[in-house]
Amino acid sequence: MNKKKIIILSSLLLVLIVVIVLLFTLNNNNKENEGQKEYTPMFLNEEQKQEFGLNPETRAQVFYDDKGKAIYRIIRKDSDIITNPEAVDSK
Amino acid sequence: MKKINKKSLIKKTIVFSLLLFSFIVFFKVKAQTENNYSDQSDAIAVKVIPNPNHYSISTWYSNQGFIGSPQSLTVDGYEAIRNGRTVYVNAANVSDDKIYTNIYVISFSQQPSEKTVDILGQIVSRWEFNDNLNEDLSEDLSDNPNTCIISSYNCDTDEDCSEGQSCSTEGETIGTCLLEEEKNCLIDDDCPSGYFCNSPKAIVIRDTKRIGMLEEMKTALSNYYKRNGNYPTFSAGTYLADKSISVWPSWKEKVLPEIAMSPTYTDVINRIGDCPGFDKDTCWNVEERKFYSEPDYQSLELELPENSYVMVYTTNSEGSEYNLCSSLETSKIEKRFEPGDYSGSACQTNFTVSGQTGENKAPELVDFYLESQSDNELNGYIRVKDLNKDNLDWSLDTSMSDWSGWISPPRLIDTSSNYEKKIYAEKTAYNNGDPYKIKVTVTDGNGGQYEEEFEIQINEPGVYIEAENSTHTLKVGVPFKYSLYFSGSTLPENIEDINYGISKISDQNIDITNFIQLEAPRPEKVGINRYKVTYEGDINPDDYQNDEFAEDVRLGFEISVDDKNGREFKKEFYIDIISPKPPLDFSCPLVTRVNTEHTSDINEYSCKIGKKTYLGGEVEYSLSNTQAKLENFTFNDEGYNPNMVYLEGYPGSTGSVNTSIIAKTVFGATSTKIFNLKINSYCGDGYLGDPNTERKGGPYNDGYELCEGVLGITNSATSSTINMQYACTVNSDTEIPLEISTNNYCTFSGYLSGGGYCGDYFCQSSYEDTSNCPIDCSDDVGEENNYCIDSSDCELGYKCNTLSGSCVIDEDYCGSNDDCETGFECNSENECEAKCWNKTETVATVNVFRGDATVPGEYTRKPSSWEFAYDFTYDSSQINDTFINVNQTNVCQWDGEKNNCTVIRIDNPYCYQPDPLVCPTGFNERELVETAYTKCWADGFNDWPDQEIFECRKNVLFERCYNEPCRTNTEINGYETSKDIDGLIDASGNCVYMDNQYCINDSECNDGYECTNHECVVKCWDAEEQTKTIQFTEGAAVKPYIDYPYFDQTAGPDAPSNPTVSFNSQQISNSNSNKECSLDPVIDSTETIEDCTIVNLNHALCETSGGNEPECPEGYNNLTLLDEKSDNYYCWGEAENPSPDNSGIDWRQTKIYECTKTINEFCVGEDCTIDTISDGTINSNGECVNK
Repeated sequence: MNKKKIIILSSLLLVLIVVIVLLFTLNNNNKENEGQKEYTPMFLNEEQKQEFGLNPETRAQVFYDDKGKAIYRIIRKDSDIITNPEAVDSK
Repeated sequence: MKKINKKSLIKKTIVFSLLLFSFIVFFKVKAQTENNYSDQSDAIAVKVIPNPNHYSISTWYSNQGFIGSPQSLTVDGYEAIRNGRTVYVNAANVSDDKIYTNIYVISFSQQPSEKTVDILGQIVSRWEFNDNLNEDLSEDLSDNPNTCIISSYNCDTDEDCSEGQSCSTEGETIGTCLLEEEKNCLIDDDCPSGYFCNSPKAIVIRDTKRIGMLEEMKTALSNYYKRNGNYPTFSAGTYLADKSISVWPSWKEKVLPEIAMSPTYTDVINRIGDCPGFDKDTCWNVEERKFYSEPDYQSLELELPENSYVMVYTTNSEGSEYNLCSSLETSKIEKRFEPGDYSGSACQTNFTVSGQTGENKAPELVDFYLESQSDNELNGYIRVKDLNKDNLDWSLDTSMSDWSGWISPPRLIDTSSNYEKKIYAEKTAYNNGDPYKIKVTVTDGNGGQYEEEFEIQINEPGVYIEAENSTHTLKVGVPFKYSLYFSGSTLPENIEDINYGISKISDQNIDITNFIQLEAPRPEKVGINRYKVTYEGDINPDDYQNDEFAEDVRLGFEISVDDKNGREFKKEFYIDIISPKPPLDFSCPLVTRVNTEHTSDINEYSCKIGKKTYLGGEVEYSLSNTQAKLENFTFNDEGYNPNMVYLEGYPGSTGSVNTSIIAKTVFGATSTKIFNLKINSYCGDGYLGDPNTERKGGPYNDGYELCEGVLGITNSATSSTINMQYACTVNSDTEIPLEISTNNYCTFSGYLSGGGYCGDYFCQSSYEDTSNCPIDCSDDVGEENNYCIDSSDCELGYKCNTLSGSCVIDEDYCGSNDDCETGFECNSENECEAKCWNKTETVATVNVFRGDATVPGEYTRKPSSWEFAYDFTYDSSQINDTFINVNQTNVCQWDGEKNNCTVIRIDNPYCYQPDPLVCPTGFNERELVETAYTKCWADGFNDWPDQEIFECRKNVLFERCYNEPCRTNTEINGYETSKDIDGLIDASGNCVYMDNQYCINDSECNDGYECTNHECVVKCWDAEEQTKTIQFTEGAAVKPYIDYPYFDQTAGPDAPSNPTVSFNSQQISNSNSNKECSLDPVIDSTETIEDCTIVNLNHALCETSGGNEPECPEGYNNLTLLDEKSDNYYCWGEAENPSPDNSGIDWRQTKIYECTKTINEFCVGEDCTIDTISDGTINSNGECVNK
């Protein structure tokens, strides 16, 4: 009898722990989703570099305006890479 | 089996409950978390400010000094104002039987998202006050007992009411239109237009408005009194002299205009109570020229019919006092406003509270008329009132007089009102001048009784003429009608023989024959020896086209009637023709936007002005003076509401328009209202605002526009700068909101959204490539670390020049003290800052003689005889440091007033004092300055030694930095005395005299200065006379703080104006130097120049002075044109309107001028040249030394 009670209570405790863990996991996912939007910088490919008259070894981050025209930025050091285009655009 | 099932059931229940609990908790927390995330950017704040004066919201708002054009609205029925992101509500807070008014300030965050705006709108639209007033009520209106039972529509019959309404014939709603289908309500907004709720909350809201209006009108009346010395009086133009009710025309035509109040200041309901026998809307009897109640000219009170909802203004004929009241309703719910006593502001109206039983009041006399002529009818009346509205029983006792000669004694005749009886007799008899007596008794059936004796006056025989003054209000289709009566036993017996006539005695040039035919009609017999004459006819506005009725007209007449003996009887009477003025109570926006080409429908001006028809005819609207700015404006009567007229148009140009709108009735009466309209330029009007007058738009939303459409932008990389970019946020198809609330209009588009410029380190391939903008587009430009967007991209000691996008030396940077100018040192943040030193300065001095009193409470000794001395003290009020604190001293004398003394000088003091001498409080340094000035009493008899005199000083330690003001503490007359700020800290930390400061001799002046006329001036020496010259080019800058235009070829041909450049007094110093500087504002905009006498501008505008000769620099004169055309310089020939391609044709070779000045002295600091020194300066000894 006591053994059965222990098993039942342990099961309930386990369910509670699972619920709490699930809750926190979901909340953390929410926070991450709220806090930042995924943005992956794009860079000029070899063909584009050639088109724009750039050296093949040049790194250049590329954006596109509303008309699809390329806007690129020469990357001389890693800190030049734009990670938040919206902030730059509203500058 | 049974046992097992029970256990199992318990277990299952427990497990299920726990699981259920867990999931509830889970989803609850999850939901709450999501809510927190979604709402975290909103910030709504509510502040409650007491409004003890019960001001209306508009008065309270203007009293705060707020400006702007707030929007009026209501929040839960209460009046409110919204200005931007804040809503101000004047609402009542009801506690027990008291009503307090508060201003509720509801505001939200400064940077709202669209969502926040919506939230504010929703909160305001759903805000509820005074829940405690309706706490017993259900949220379902249909369950509430309160209904829209109060009506603003008076009626006599059902026909007077609209469809779905009927005319009430009983109770407190008698004489008003009621909704046939009862409608439940909490506030007035729940009711149809013209109907009001009888709930406690609605009553409180209405009285809050009323009291606000009363306060505003009292203020306006007070202001009127201050200006005129009396309150407004009205001897004409109103039914009763010096009295007006808000339902009378005189309220809007006389009272409110006189005190400069808007016509909207009437009662919330504005309906007068039931008054049978009188006009239902005004309670004025036109024929009898009487009001419902007899005015009390002593108390200035005017009693109103029950259930009136009006405002009343009364004054005396001198205007020395007034009574202003409103039909306050809160007494019905036994509540009163706090603070303040508004019982005196409640009009004399007895509200009947439904279901409430109060003390019975006896009927009271209101009015009576009991007079006639012998042998005529008696047509008198007696009118009473009963506050309980009881049914009254009337009785008449005629037993007190002998009625011989009468056909019968007078008797009571019913009228339409139970409160008025006609006293009638067919034929009266003259009683030798003595009156007849009657007694009238009126009982209310509840124990209340009115009983009084009256006298009936019968005049001697003859012709009795009843021609009362009358009023006719003009209205198309309403005929004029006037009747007069004459009677008498001496009139001819045959009606054909009656001779009567009327003549006009007033002198207006108005054709009255249309409605009063002087020759006709014949009289009509209406009683025994009583005749009636009626005049009637149409007053057709087509017959009066010369503004005969532009104002009210009083026509005077005289009627004469002959009796059968040829005796003539006359009477004058007057007929007032009232020509109502058209209502003109529009509230048009006073600010609008220019709409020159009528390009924007959203900016078309449209405002409801007034009614299309009035008095049965069309109202004519006009502007007093049509100005060019309003030439497109018209009065449109085919707008949204077909019964109204709108002022519409599109403003032609910016500026202010001062005009008046005039409304004119078909009878010629006019109303005028001043209309001042400001027409703003704005972001989106097709011009580059600098700033626009709307002061909206641009990067700071202050009206300074960076660009608009094609203005301010370029499509050329070489022309682009940070101030001339590729795209603008506003184009021809951009919808500009009426309220610009963000910084996104008339500014450049983002670098990645079509904007940008060459130098932003983004290669916008639409405009830029490696050839025209290598700095952005090429990968082999410049040093790796020499490009920047801001200074954080640069190395230490460099800053970012955002124009060129390159790092340049930061002139403010220092690595050591050597990098700083004299007097400055390099701090830990690598910035040069002024050096500082601790300096002790004397802020006050006072001379103290040994034996003087200096400290309160300390004994001072003075000899009283050759052998004895006595001690005495002064208290802290007599001797203290009050004056020390204000940098002064106060030396009091022995025999003078001793109050706030620093030192009290004792006459013949005892020499004995503490040694060393104690200086007054706060004086912390002393010095013996004299010992033989005077004598004091010593211990040894007959011994008067020299008295010592000390100077006590108050020295204070200050931290003084380079070039800061300080006290020089210079030693003068043997000791330092400087107590005033008189110097500056020099680079060595010494406090030296300021330039041009007061001095006695040269030693008090700084090096290089001398004392002349007690002023330190620069040292100068005589020299051989010589002439200095300076040359400059046309358009050069010669004076500081003047805008010098130049041509910026990057601006393009459509640039609205050329830019300008100006210099400060350090850049153009006009000092003793002869320094010529040159600058190209387009190319060298960041170049630093200073101490120039003149700045030659490349790209200058030719003929900067508008064709006049240019000015010489300060100190120079004798302008000479040296060269008509110089090969070296060019200026821009604006007048030639050249093309912008910089081809050379457009650049005229500039003129070269020369100015001279004659000098015959040289001074310290001036430039000099001698054989061995080519670039020298004069030192303090007058020598020319290397700079």
